[in-house]
Amino acid sequence: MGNILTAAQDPIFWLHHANIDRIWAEWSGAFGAHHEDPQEASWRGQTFSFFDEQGHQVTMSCDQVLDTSVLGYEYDTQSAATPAATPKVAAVSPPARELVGATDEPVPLTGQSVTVSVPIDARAAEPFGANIRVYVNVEEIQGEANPGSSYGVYVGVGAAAPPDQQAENRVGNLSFFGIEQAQNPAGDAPAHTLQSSYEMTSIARQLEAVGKWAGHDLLVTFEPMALDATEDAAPGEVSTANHEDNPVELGRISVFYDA
Amino acid sequence: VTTRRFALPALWETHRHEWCPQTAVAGGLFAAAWAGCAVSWLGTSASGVRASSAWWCMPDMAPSRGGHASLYSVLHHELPTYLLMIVAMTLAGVLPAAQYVAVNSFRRKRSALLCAFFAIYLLVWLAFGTSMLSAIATAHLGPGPDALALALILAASYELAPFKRWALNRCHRTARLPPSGMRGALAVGRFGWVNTSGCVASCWASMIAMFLAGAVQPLVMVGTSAAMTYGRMARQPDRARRRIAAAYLVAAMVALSVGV
Repeated sequence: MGNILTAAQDPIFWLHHANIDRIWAEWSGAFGAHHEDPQEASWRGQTFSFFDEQGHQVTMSCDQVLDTSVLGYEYDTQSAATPAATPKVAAVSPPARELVGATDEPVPLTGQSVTVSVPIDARAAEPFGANIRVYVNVEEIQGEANPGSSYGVYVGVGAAAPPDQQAENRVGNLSFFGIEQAQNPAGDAPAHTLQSSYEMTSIARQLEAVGKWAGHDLLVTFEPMALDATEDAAPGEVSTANHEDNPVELGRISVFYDA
Repeated sequence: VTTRRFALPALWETHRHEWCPQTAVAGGLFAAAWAGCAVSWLGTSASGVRASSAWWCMPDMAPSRGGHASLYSVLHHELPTYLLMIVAMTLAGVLPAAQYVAVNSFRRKRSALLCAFFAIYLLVWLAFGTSMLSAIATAHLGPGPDALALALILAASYELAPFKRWALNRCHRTARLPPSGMRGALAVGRFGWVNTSGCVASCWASMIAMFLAGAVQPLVMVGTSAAMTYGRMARQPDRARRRIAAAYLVAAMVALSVGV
């Protein structure tokens, strides 16, 4: 499941993606509000080829699979069908992004907890308008192979912070799925690196409220996630998060405003 | 949380409307370079100075101007025009990389870092042009249908070579860019070198065809520019390379059959 070349042979891959499909369907019509899908032609027109149950190759675009009812199924956890809203161009107007802070040096991950200080530039971070959303990006993620470990990403706290404070400041997880094929992609795709983005607007607002935002260092902590061994587990039965022999490099940790 | 593939062609498609003023200026320079080339071509055509086999951008080397010029003369007279052509032909392809520099820098540092990026871009292309013009002058190569057809066949073959894919990957590569300071400037310089050298390694064969186009150089310049930009921007680069190779082969056959 952790290797992009073999993931589809793992049954959990199909459960995982079916669940994503369900979550997307629920999100699209959740809470009586119709969330809008992206309108960009490059996203809607992106095609994928696969094989149907008769083994025939089928090519479909994103546009053709947005509505599950058109495909002949609905989820029983899905809220009542909401009429498709007319796309609002304003909702997809281009964001104005501004870099407000970034690290200078790459960060190696080997399975240990790592805390990085990201200097938030005083001039770039002011003014911090009410309509601004803040994102922390992990850029230029590179490595030979997926180490099989994922990391929890915490913003505004170090590794030594109390667990309840850590939980409040957790912005997401960092995984390395697809890292093997990034620089030498299989098939007809350009080389690329991986990047992850995490919204941290509320945490940035809290830091600004206590005067620890513009001109200060933002702590970003990567905490490896590992399974806890049960009492009856044999030694070595549960793998640790350590991957010193297969390090991953995070090229840059950056913080962006998005108005 | 969003995790995504991050490569320059995708950046172009997703964020091509997020131009900052500096990249808009670069776009203006691109248009101005094409206008300059068009004016130069129309001017020389109207003056009748050059015969039909003359070399538009290299008058001193054109056979109609009395044979081959000295190396100094070629470099002295042709490099400015060559740089104008390079800006016209390659700037569109390099704009996503310039925008990448702009987006990943502080606003107050943006102009300086973009200047550093474009300086490296011009220097790398200048080094290539100097080498090519010197080689052509030294070898006493001249334009003509046979030379053009051979160059186009070479370009078509190169499109299908594995090294071309390597060079394109180098074009598409992003880099870790510290936002300011000497580290930031050095990183942008290194990014400019990797990106532009990848572009030169990717497009040198097409450029040779353009050098040897003779009287149809404006036409070849437009065609190779379109092919180079398409090859660099395509989301499916292998398919693009096959199409470009086919187009070059057709162009080679046309050059031989029409005798331009």
